[in-house]
Amino acid sequence: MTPRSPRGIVVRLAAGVAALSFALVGCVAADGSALAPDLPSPEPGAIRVVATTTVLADLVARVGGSLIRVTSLVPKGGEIHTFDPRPATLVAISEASLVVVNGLGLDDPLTDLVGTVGSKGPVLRLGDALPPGSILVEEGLANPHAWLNVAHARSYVAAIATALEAILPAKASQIATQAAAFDARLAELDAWTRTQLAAVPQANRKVIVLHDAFPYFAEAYGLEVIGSVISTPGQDPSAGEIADLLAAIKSSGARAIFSEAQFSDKLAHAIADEARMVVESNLYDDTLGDAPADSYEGLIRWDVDRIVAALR
Amino acid sequence: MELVVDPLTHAFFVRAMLAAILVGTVCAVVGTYVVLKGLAFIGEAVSHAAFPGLVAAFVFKVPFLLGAGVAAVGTALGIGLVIRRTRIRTDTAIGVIFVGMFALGLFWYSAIKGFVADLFSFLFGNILAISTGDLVSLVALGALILVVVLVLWKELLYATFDPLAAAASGLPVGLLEYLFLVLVALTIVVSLQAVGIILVVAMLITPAATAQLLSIHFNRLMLLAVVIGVGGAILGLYASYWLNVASGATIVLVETAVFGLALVLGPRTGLASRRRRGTSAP
Amino acid sequence: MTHPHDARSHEHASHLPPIGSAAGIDAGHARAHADVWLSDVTAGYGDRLALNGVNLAVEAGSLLAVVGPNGAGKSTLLKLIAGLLKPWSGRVEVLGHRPGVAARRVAYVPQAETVDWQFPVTVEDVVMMGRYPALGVLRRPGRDDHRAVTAALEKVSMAQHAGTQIGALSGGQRRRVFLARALASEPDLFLLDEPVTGVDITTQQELMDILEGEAKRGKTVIATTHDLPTAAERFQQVAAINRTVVAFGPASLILDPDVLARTYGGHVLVLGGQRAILDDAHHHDEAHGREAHFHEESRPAQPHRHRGPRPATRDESRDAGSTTDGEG
Repeated sequence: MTPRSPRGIVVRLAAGVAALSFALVGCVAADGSALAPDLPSPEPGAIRVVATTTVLADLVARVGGSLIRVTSLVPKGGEIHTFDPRPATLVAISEASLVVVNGLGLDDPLTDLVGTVGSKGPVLRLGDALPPGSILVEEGLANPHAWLNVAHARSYVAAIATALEAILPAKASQIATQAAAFDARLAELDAWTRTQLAAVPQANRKVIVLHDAFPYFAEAYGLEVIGSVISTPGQDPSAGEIADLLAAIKSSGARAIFSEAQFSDKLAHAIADEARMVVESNLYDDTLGDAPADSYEGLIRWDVDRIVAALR
Repeated sequence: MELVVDPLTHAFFVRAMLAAILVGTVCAVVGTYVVLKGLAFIGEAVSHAAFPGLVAAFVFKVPFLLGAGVAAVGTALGIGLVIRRTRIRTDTAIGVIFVGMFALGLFWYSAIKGFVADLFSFLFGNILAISTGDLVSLVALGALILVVVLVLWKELLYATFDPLAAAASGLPVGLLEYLFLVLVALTIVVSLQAVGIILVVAMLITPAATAQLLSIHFNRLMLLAVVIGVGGAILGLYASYWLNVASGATIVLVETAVFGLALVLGPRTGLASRRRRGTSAP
Repeated sequence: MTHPHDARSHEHASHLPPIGSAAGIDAGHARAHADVWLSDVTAGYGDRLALNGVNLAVEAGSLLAVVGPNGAGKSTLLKLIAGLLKPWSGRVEVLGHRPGVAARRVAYVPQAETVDWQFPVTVEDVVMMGRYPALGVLRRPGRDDHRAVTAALEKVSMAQHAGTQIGALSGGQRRRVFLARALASEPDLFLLDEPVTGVDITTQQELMDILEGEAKRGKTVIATTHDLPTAAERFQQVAAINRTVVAFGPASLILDPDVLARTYGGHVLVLGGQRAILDDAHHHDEAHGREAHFHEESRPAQPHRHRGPRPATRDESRDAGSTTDGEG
């Protein structure tokens, strides 16, 4: 009836679970939210800045340089919509002299969290810095992914520079210089992207996306997004929605499905098989990836290369 | 020492600590009755049933506490009614109701356009993200629960131990039963934000179950459950801070570990002598 | 509402001539000075009939044994009087009111199996519970209450076990504690479900002495029992029950072969002056018999106690009607 020494078994089992837990915690802790290695390391006395995503964190870091220490709340590869903050995240928020969020519905829960936890400095909402009329709205909801239009990213950079200059008035000229230098590189990136996309034949410019992250990119660089597979991240589409999408694909002759690295591409492949399309499932939008997509510039170049290759 | 004091310099951690103490206390007190009545499954049901309430609160822009409270209390009373008034087996009735309610929550959730990450945080909870306003309402609700238990201490004890004799001697046992289910529902609502729907039953059951291994006196058992509940919550909170892992899960793991210790080392260890339950519990 | 057993029970009852003045009570005068009065009461669980056409009047100061085979409705009768079960039809009056109204003057002691004896309370705690209803909400037990508890514990010779956890008690001690709780509430009416079943002879005698004493003080005591010799020797009156009141009268009545035959369906064995019941119903209905006995492991089995697994006691609805099936 009783197994040999139940006590021993329980103790051994517990020890095993504990050991495994510590090993897992160790692994996870090692994978921080490290930004690109080419960024200057923060100097002593650097102020702490928190951004909601790695993409925004990279923009902030380029402007602030060594004057700031930037942390992204959602780690690299993390999903902003299902993000569960860790204690260290909250410590970062409470110590932050500036909190940079995107707004437009991308990171509202995180912005609420910042409000709840309380930060030392103000919250900068980058979406508010976009030129009037440039925000894309669908079914009453703003699309937040403005930074995928490089011109909008330049607006973000300008807003970040203004905010940092207000917080560090003594360093205002250094910040302005760094911002100007980065803005020049973004102008170049914008031009390069236009040139690359120009090579795509007009007939091939209709695409399907897994999640609706590319309207700003499409608008700026001349693609047409026929539809998206997932209307809300974390929610699978209904059978009816998939049928509608397949009908839209058929009537439009869309050529490729674009999907992001952080999502499972199962659904994209299922639809692509049905409609005989190309799947490009390794794009980045909400989060940075590994090198060379480990900076904003790298992300845009990575995506453009893959999009052009898929549509050529 | 720094390890202990350092987190307390952050206001959010202090709030989380207060919430942990509150949740630990309320859960242990109500959980003692839950364990003695053998109603753990009802706790599970009620916590999942709170989900559609949370979704509805999100849609109609009312406080989450209100939505979760209405759904949880409604389900608890519904379960009570089904148990008392129909001939369906209790576990069957509970199973049907709680999965049905959770499905209703998912159904509504999937119908919402836009991002509802807040709802995710209720599945797993985040004690660190409790605002001052939340904390105030939690303290009020928690205090209410504790006061009710304190006022009806004798009556709840008698009705739990021997419902037949208690009823025959004039105690409104049926009413106490429903009231108790409401207390369980409110306790779960108080704890939801801290540990989330999925883990809340552990907060309710584990400290009392541990105390049951260590004491045979009702008052001491409940006190011990409170000590274990509050201690586990505080220790778990610190551990999650030091290790930078989810606090709800860490708190539950600490309490589970304490239970394991009591099981292996305790004087009334369940391993040595398996506890036999009588045929009680209404 | 029709019940499958209705017809049958009526038939069963109808070919029995009334015994003495027992089964049929001429309601009028009996009701006036009865502590417990039932008139044409029908009751059951769910859709199962347990008692049919019950008439009974128990006067103040009575010491009444309720006897009958398993599933005869003995516990049901007590629950009706205690207000735990509502009759389907008929009238019940307890201490001059509807059942439950004078609940604080009633002490009901359920069968031992209905509570969890591992519950973390001490002997003293349990006996103190008897004081709770009268104390009311918010008031803590005072000196009077502690005195009453101590007195009750002394009465049942359990004072030295006041601090013992109830799980550590023997079967006999558990019955003593339950009786002490009833005593502590200082009731006018005791309703005891199998108070002396399955306990040793000494305990049985002591508990009966106490009940006799209460009856002598003018309290009314109604107890169910399986133990016919005890019923005959230690009680004043007996009510033989088998889905209805088969016989009611002085305790010696139960030794009458005719009464026994009608109550137990003829399965009676006479063993050297004492009577034992070979109750067929036990064997048919053990798996879900309601009138479960309290088994004390150490005690040798007695002729009338059935052996075998302890039946579930809680689900009243399953068995109440099925028992008489075995008696045809």
